[in-house]
Amino acid sequence: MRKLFSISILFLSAGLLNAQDMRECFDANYSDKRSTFSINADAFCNSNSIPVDFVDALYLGQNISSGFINNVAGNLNAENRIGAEFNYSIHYSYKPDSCSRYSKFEFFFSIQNRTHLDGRFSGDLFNLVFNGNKMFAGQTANFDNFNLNLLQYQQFQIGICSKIKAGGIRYGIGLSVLNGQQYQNILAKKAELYTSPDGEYINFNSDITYKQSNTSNTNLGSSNGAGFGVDAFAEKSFTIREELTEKIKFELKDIGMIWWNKSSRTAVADSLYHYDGISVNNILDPKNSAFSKLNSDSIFNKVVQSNPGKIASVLPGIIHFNSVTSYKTWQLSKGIRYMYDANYKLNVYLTGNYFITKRLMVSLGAAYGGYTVFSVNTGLGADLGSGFIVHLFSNNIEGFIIPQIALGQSVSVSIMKHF
Amino acid sequence: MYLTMTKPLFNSYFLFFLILTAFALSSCKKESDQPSWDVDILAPLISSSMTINNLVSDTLIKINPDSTVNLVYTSSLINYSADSLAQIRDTNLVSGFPIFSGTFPGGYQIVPLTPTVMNFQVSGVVLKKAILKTEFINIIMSNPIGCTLIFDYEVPGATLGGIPFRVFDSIPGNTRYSKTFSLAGYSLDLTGPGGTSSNTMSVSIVAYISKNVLKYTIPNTTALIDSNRIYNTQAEYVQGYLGQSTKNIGPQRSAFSLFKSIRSGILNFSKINITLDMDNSVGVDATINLLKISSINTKTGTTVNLICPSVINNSINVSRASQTGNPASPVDSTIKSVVINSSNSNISTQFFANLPNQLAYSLQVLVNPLGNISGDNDFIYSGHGINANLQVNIPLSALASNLVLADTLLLNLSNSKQIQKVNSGSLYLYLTNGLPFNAQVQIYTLNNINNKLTITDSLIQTPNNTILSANMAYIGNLWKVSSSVNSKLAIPLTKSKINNLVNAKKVIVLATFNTPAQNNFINIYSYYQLDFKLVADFNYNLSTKN
Repeated sequence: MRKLFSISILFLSAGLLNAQDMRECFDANYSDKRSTFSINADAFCNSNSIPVDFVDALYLGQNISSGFINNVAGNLNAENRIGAEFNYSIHYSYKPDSCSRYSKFEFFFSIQNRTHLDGRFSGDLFNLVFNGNKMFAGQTANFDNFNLNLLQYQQFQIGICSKIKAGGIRYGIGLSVLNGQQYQNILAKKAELYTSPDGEYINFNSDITYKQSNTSNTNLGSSNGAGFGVDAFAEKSFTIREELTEKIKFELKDIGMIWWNKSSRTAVADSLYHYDGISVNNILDPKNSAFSKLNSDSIFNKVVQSNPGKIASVLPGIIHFNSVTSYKTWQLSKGIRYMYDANYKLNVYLTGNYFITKRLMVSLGAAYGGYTVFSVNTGLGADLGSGFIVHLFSNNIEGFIIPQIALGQSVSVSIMKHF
Repeated sequence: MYLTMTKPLFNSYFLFFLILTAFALSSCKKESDQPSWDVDILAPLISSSMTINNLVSDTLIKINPDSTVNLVYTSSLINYSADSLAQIRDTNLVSGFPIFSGTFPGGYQIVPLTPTVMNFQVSGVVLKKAILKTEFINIIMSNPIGCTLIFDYEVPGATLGGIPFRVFDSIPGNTRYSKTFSLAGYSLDLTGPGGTSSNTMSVSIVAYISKNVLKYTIPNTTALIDSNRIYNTQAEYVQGYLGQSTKNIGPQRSAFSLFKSIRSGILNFSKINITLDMDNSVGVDATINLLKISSINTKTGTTVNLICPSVINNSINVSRASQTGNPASPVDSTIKSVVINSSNSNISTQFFANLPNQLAYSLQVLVNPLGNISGDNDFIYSGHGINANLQVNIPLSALASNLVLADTLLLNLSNSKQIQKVNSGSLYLYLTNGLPFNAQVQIYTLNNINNKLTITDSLIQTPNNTILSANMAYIGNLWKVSSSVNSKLAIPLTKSKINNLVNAKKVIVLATFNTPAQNNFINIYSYYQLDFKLVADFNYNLSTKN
C-alpha cells in the first residue's frame, strides 16, 4: 500500500495542485517503469464576485443585457478579485536503474506554455465599464487600487528529485528558463472620475502606472523578454499504524522573474485632468473637422506620459503546504496555498479520494479562498492499462452545474504513459 | 475489494473521457468576435467659443481701437492694365544692299555703309522711346557671291548701357545666314535717323570680302538681302502719345459675399459708406464714367439700382500720373475718391437693404479725352494701369429683425460606426451667449429622395430652440452687453433621427436673429463672444472591438 501512496515528481510544476496530487495516485501501479511521458492542460477562471456565466458571455463575445449587468453589479464587493490561467505542457521523467550511480534520483524535463491573468477592482469601476458614467453624474466613481496583470510566457524546465525512502525526507528542485511573450500590468494607486451633474465636464484624478511589453509582437512564442524560475519541494511520510499513513509536503513554485526588453513601455498618469470637450477654434470652419478629434487616443495622450524602456516582472509564485492522510482505499488531502503578488487570498482546501478499484479513483472536496470564495472540487482518475493513465479534474465543479451563481470554473486534463 | 477492470469497461471509460474533453474544448469556441453591452454615457464632446471673427470672414473685418467692428468689403470694378495701350506688334523689315561688281582683293568693302529705317507696327499711338522687357530680333541675310562675306550690322537707336546693338559676323559664299538675338533691357530710340520721327528705328550694314580671300571677281552688280524680324516685344516702359481710346467695361456681375448667408428678414445698419477709389498710375489723362451699379438679391429676385447723381453717369476725371525719377518707384499715381453715402444716395434705404449677394455694374474709361496735350510725353510703366475699387465700409452697429441666416454643410456620417452604435439619448448644447442678439436655431438633414435633395428631419427639439440674447445695459450713452445669458438646446437621438443623420448628404443650419427690443442700433464689439459646449447623454452599444 505504501507504493500506492508514493509520489512522483512528474507534476511538480503542472497546473492545479489538487489535480497534481490526483495524478500521482496510480504511480504505484507502474513502479517498475523507468520513464513517464505526459501531456497536460489546465485552465481556470475564478472571481469572488463575477459569476461564471458573465465571464462566459464576455469570453464568447455575446451581447450582454443591462439586466444581466445589474444583477452582477448588485452582488459586487467593496474589493473584487478575478484570476485566470490557461496552461498546457509536456513532461518527461526518467528514473535510473538501481545499478546506476544516480539510482537515488529521478530526473525530469518539461516544456510549458503559461498564461496568467489576475486583477482587483472596485464596484465603481465595474459599473463605469459596464453601465457607463451617467450613473455617477454629480458623484465620484472611485477605483483606487485597481490592479490588472497579464503574463504569458514559455517555460523550459529541468529538475531532479530524490527517490522516496521509508521515513526519510524527500526533496526536489526544478530550474526553468523562461521566454517572455507578453506582459501587461496596470496599478492605480489612485483613480477617481468625477462627472458633473449635467455632463459639462469630467475630472479624472489619477496616480496610475501602466507597464506593457512590446505589443506589436505577441504571438505564441514571441520573445520580448527572458527570465528564470525555480520550483522546489520537500516532503516526509509517516506511518501512524497499519494502513494509516500521513505525508506532509511543503513546496515553492514559480519563484522567479522575467526581464522585458527595451521595446517595453511604462506609462504614468499622475495628475488631475479636467476634460470639458475637445476644444475647437472655429466650429464653423469645416476644415477644422472637430469630430475627427473625438477619439480616445487624443484624450489618452493628454493624460498619460509614456516612455519606452526595459521593465521587470515577478512571477506569481506559489507557497503550498499539504498533508495527505491515507487509510486503505481512502485518502484525505488538506492544505493551504498562497500565490503572492497576484491578488490572491489564502486558499484552504480539503479533498477526499476514493479508489473504487486499483485502477479507478474518484475525488470530492471543498476549498475556500484563492480568487473565489467557496468552491467544490471533484475528479476522476483511471489507469487504462498498458501504462496509460488519464485524469480529469475540476477545482470548481459548481461552475459547470450552476454557472448563474457560481464564481469559478476550472478543468484539468492529463494523459500519461509509463514505459 | 477492488473491481477488476475489463476491456469493455476500459473502452467505456476512455469514451467517457473523450466526450468530456470534447465538451470542454467545444465550450471554448467563441460565438462571435467581441462582446458588447449598452452603457449610458454623459460626457462633453466639443467646447468652443465664437466671436464676430468666426461669424464673418477675417478679411471682411476691421477692428477699431475702441473694439468696435467695421465690415469692410472691397470689390474691383476696373483693373485696366495700360500695357494694352501701346502694344508693339511683331515687325518685319526686308532690305537689299547693293554689292559692287569687279575684282576685289580680300578685305575690300563691297557694301558701303547703308542706313535704313525699320517702322514698328503700332496703331494709333506715337512712340518715341521704349525700354524693352523682352524682344527678339531675327537677322536673316543671303550672300549671293561665291566667297565669304564679313558684315557689320548695327542698330544705333537700340542701346544697352549706351552701347548700340551690333552684330559682327561672316557668311560663307552662296549661303543664308540666320541668327536670333535678344534685345531684353535695350533702350530703343524710336525717333528715327533724324531724331524727329516716331515708331521708327534705323539699321545700318557694312560688308567686306573675307581677308582670307586673295582676290575675288564679282561679274555683275548684285545685292545683299537683309530680312529682319522683330517679335515678342514687351516693353517695360514706353513714351510718346498713347492715343485717344475708350474702354467699355460691363455690364457684368460680381459676387458680393457680405450678406451671402442671409435668406430673409431685416438688417439695418446705422451707417453705410461706399467709396469709389480710382487710381491712375499711367501717364495719360483718364475719365471714368460709372454708368450703372445695381444690388441684386438672387434669392428674392430683387434688383435695386444705385441712385447717386453725383456719381452715376457723371464723368469723373482722373488726371495723369507723374514720373518720380526713382527707378524703385517710378510712378506717382493720381488717386481720386468719391464717397457714396446715405446723404447723397439710396445706399442705406434701398441699395443694401436689398441684402444683395451680387453687384452688377457697367462703366466706361476714356483715355486722353483732350488728345495729345502732353507733347508726346505720355508714358506707361509695365504693370501699371487704371484701377477703380468699390469699398464698402459698414460700422457693425445694426438692428436685426427676424434675420434668417442659412448655411449648408456637406455631411457624410454613413461610415461612422460610432454614431450608429448610439441606441437612444440626446445631445445637449449648452450656450453662454455674450452677443447682443437672440437666435432661434434649427438644423435640418437633407437626403436624396427621387434624385432631389429633400429635408428629411429637424434635429433640435422645439419649442426651446432659442439661444437667448445677452443682457443689455445703457452704459456711457450706448447699449452694451452687461452679462451673458445661458441657454440649453436639446437634440434628441431617437433611432429614426440617427438614421436620418447617418443617411444625410447635407445639413442646413438655419438661424433667425433678432437684436434686443430696445429698438436701437446695437454696436457689436470684438470681445463679445458666444461660448458653447456639446454634451452627449446617450445609451451606447459598447464593444471591446470599438
